[in-house]
Amino acid sequence: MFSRIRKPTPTSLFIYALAITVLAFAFKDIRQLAVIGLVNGFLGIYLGLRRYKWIILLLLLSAWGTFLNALAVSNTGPTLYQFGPITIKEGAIHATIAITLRLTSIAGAALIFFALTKPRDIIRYLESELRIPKGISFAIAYAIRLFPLMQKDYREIQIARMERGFRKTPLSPSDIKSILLPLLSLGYERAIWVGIAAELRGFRLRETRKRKPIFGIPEAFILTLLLLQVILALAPYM
Amino acid sequence: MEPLKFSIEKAGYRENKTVLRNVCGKVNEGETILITGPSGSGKTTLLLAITGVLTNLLEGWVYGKISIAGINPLNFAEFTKIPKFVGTVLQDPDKQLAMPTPWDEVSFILENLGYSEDEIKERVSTALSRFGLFEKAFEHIEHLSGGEKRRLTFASAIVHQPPILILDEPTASVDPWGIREIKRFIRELKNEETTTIVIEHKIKYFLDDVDKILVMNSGKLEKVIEGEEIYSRKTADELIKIGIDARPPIVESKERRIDSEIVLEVDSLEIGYNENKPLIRDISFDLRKGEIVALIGPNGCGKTTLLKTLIGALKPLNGTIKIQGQEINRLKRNERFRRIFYVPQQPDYLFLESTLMKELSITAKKTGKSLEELIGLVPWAKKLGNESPYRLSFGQRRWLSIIIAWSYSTSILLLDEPTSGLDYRLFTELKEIINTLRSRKGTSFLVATHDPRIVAELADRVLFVRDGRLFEIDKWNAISILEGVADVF
Repeated sequence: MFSRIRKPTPTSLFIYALAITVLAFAFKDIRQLAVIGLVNGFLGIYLGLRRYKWIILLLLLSAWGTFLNALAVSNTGPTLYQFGPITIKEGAIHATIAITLRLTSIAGAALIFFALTKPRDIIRYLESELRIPKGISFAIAYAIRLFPLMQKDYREIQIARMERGFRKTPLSPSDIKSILLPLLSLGYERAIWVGIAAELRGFRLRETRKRKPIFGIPEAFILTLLLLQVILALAPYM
Repeated sequence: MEPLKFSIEKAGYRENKTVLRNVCGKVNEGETILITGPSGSGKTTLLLAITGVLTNLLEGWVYGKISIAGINPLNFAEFTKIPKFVGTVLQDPDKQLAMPTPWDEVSFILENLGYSEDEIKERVSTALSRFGLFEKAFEHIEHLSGGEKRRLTFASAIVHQPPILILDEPTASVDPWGIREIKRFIRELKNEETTTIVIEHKIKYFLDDVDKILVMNSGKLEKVIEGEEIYSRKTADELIKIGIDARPPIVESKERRIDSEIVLEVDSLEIGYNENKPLIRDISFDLRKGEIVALIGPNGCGKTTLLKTLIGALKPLNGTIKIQGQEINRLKRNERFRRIFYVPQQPDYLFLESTLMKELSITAKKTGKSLEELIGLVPWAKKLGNESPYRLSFGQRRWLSIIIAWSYSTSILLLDEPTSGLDYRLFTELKEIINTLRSRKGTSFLVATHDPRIVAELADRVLFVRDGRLFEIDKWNAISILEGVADVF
């Protein structure tokens, strides 16, 4: 039954993701951040886990990095745990939880957006409904086109580096340079010619085709989800 | 109205550096013309000048007059009108295709020109169907094969039915099967009375279909060839001398003496990405010291996959590979690449440094070869030492990639389409370096190619990939297949 329901438009999902990002920075209280972090975290993982597994790993790494940073700069207040010479205070735990929830809410909202939209629909809706300038929408479209090509370039560069006796995993600045130089050089040349090709296909003449945003049941659902989170987050203070 | 008329006194990219000089010509309505010349002759600069790109986008300059579809492309306001009347197909599809899917790519120009949504839908469907791409309309462009990407560039260039079409080196990196499709496309354009301008150094494929040939050399228009002169043997010989591929290659019949020492042994090898669906099965062949073996077959048949499997970058599905008697999986990584080295089709992948001299220095350091020896093998190394290897000409980058590869492995080099984009003059230079390494240093080569010149003038033996199997065939048969498919004979 759910597969027959139309997905929300990219416009509504984009506005939702943007709103959650703003709330993530506006909310300071852990309870408020917990509402948006948990809702978007679970929904994002449920919808996006299959295609974007690496985001989970990134979130876990971020949480660990945040904790280490918090130990260094926010380790204040009553002591909660002691591990040998390492003292963990309330301030560090509080900062870690707050920042992790903030990251989870933003990442989760982004996962919801990307899981429910097709790249080509993103561009069309952003340009026609959100009136994003044609230069930006072209850049987004080109980035989507380019990403697998750059992945292919990266694989070929890795083979060449392996043959030339370099480490597979870049550790030093010169390792990173040896990957970036060919990637950027190839990308730059491609970009120049794609730009020329776009001009020869009349990009300068392009005018945005305006369209009224669609608002139906799926969009109402997204708006309701957003409002519910705001109400739940602000309720204790009312 | 003449679709194209140009009278260029001088033109160039940078001030005080002239690239084109006294280039004049005209193209009549419905004509199909070829603009040809060796690499560096100014063909692409002429294309950029007549489309207005040189002056309006690249900050170049032109002294002269140009009129294309009645528009002056040197004037910026008029330059913006060119897309309505001119379709363009650039040399490399990956440097032209900008959108995520074929549908978006073909719609792009129609959206830019203000067509209605209904008309866009109809025209795009028709164009994609014409080129056999409708089924893949909404797939990511990177899932298309090389041939499909090329067809997509055609679809997006003609969807708005422009009266003039320009094709820049359409056969670059295309196999003979793809060239046959390009020829068919050009014939269809001729029947539709589209004025077609083809810029190409491999003119042998198009002699039957063109009305006129403009020959460029060193930035000047050297000659205009029309009528019966297009087919004359004398014309072909003159054009070959300046580096234009004007006739099928002549097979070198003198057989070289090959050493009996086997350097590479492949037995019952199966390659591919899926165990249940190997790309090529039952591969068995050997390579001897100082031998050059050509590996031919259509794009996508598995030539590159075979080369990458031989160096261990991909795991074989079955079978064995032995290098100088030792199984490849028993060799340590560094030891393996001292014996066998793969040179990719795109030479830039191999470069690691910001200048040519640094590139040679790091190669010398890693391989133990002397820097002087490497400089000796690169004739322009001292002159261009401070240039970025990525800014060298394509022929120079190709040359440099082979020298780097040889520095690591003097035994076996695997070259992937090394002549792609090279005119006959540059091919001759490449042939020279390969022959030098083979005869003086005993290096063996396995060359994946669909270039008949390699088969005719370099290879000792030929292996042909067909229907998932590898066969050895003689050189004459190989040439006959490659040139026959492309309808040169």
